[in-house]
Amino acid sequence: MLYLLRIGEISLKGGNRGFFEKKLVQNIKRRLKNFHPRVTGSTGRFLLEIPEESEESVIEVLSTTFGIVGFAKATPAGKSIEEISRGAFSEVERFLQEREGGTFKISARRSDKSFPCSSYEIASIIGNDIRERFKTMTVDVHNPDLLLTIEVRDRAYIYGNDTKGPGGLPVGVAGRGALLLSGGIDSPVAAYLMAKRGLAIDAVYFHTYPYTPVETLQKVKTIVETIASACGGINLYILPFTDVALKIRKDAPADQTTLLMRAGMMDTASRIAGRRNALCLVTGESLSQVASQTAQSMHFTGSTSKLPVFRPLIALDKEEIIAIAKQIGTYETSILPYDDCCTVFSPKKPLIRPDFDFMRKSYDKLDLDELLAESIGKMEKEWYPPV
Amino acid sequence: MYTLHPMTYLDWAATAPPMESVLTESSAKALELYANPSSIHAAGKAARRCIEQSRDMCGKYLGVAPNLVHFTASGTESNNIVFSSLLFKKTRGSVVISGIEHPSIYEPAKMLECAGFTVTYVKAESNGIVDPARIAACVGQDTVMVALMLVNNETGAIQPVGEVSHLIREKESCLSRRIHIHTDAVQAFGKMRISCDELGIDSLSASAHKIGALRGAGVLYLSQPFDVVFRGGGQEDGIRPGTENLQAIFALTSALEIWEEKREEWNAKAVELRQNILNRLISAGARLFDPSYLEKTDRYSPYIIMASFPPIPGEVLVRVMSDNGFSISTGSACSARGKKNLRVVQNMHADRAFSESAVRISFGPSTSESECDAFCSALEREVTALINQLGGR
Repeated sequence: MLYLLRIGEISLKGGNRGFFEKKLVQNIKRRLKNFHPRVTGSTGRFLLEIPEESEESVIEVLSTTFGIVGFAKATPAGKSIEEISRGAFSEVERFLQEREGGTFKISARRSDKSFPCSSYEIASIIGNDIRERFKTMTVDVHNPDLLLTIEVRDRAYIYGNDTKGPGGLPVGVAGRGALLLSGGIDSPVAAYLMAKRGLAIDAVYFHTYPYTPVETLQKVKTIVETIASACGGINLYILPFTDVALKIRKDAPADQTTLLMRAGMMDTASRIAGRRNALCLVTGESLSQVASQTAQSMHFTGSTSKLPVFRPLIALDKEEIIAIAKQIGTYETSILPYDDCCTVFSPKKPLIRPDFDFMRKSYDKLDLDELLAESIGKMEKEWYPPV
Repeated sequence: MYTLHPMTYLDWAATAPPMESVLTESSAKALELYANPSSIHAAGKAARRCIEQSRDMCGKYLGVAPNLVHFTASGTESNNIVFSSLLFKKTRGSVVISGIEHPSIYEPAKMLECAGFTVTYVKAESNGIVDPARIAACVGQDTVMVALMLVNNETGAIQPVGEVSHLIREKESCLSRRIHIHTDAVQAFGKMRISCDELGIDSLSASAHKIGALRGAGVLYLSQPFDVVFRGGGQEDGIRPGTENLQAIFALTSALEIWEEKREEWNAKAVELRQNILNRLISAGARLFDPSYLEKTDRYSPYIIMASFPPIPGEVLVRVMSDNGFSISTGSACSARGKKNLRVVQNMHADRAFSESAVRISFGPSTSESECDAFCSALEREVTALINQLGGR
């Protein structure tokens, strides 16, 4: 079976395009390794050759691998009009398996200029052949039901309507980031959007048992499992964080608890990121959504990270975030009724516009170094491979 | 397959452990009397006899004619049958329930609200007991039903159902029509002597798995038949159509018989255990919702204890005690999974700190003194540690 893949943004890259393409090929091959695929290609197109029995997996993988804009099953043909015509017939027959008839348009491209017919001539000849052979197919060049593309390169390739891919860039081209994952709606969406820009994801979950239930941890694991494929696999780091949270609760003013917890998490995540050669932190923060997500709050909480903090949801409202969460399949898990933060760590009136210097002093005074190191020492790691 | 860790079970109000003899005997019955009780052959008639004997037994216990007792699948189903019957009324009216009812009353009442009924929710006093006068005061010209549970499932508070009925029946003479009075007796069934006549009620619901029988059987006493939503083969006088669950029904009455025989002895022991546990909890820093909870033992079920340990969230204490091998719960098991449900405690004027930290300890006849002792010691230890962690704030 042959598939033709379109790669959109990657083809716009200049000198380092090869790096992007190589990563995409690696990512596709890794996810389809059980079928021993062969991926070749250049100039904005890739060809995937793979055994027929893999169809279901191929569609799943190609529609969820970042870097692919669209894909279609293709028919290869020899470089003669007769062979191209036969290939076109089989594509039309594939189209007619699901419907009785319809409109079509031929789009022909000829990168091999030694081929005797021009693109226009190819389109005219094959178009006529199809009209004669399939009486239920008529031409509509503006809004066809079937866009039949013919590309003449080393061989001729004929393919019908393509299926949309997720777009974006291949995971890994932008390095690695450490995601602060809570089990709520936002952070999985943030992970997905950053992976779409090519970032490989390490997820960090701060577990405050017994103040949060094991069900919340289970929820986090399910979420990671859900987005692992799109993210090219995820390492989940589970940190026991109860001692840190309790120390903050005990030694800091109640209204600062949320911000200091958040700052402690950023601090810890950036330490883990350092060990993993990660280049940034990722959070699901959205401006003004809650007290810890005002500009002032994020200025402070982000300041404990030695790495830049990427917040891909910063300008999205809740409805927009929920729409993406539903699309990527994490929403139903995220809304399971298990708290991701116990009431004992959630002050009734948290600071909303904290003073930066005041909060920094408060954080430094807590002297969490030792506790954070202990937490990292006890962390567990689980690998969720792409499937 | 799952493995239960060795544990001390103190969540009987959620589900009582099944009695071994009840399980054995009811399994034997299920093997012997598998025919459909509606069949007219000998095997079907034998199954029918078994169910009718169970009905006689329940009727005797409730002090009513057996034909007024219907078997259902659960207490929840019994409650729903009663509430949904109101949907057949040609005109909408009002319903009065207490604010401390189990979700299987509270939610059907909400459903009636959606269907156009007016529902009044009457709060309990701070001692967890509803003032009969408050309920009576809410009964008006258009009141069609009043529901008050017999024993509250979170606090064990025994509700004055008889007094409420008395006041309502007095009012009825002015209204010249009968108001349906329903009681959810799930936590009282078997554990208290119940006379439907003395209570002056029109319907009562109960459940089998709270008294050591199987899940899948409930009881519904109805003084008069009414229309029901679910239709079928006409079983249980059409009140609960569907083939009867003979094994669960047999188990229910087997367990009830044992309770009838042992009730005085078991209750006396439970009263003592309750006092001991309460005293230990208080010395461990427990807050009770009312001082009378300790003193007026006749006003509370001896099998259910509610205590609160602010600022420890109830669910945190439940988790920690579970890790120690003790099963307790926060509030009602039917609503404890997931988001906090503080409705019941807040409907008895408890403050938020008390409500959020409340836990329920419920036990039964096989709970031993040594188990309670071990539980109290572990609880004292964990509460001290948690309070220390949380800095008492």
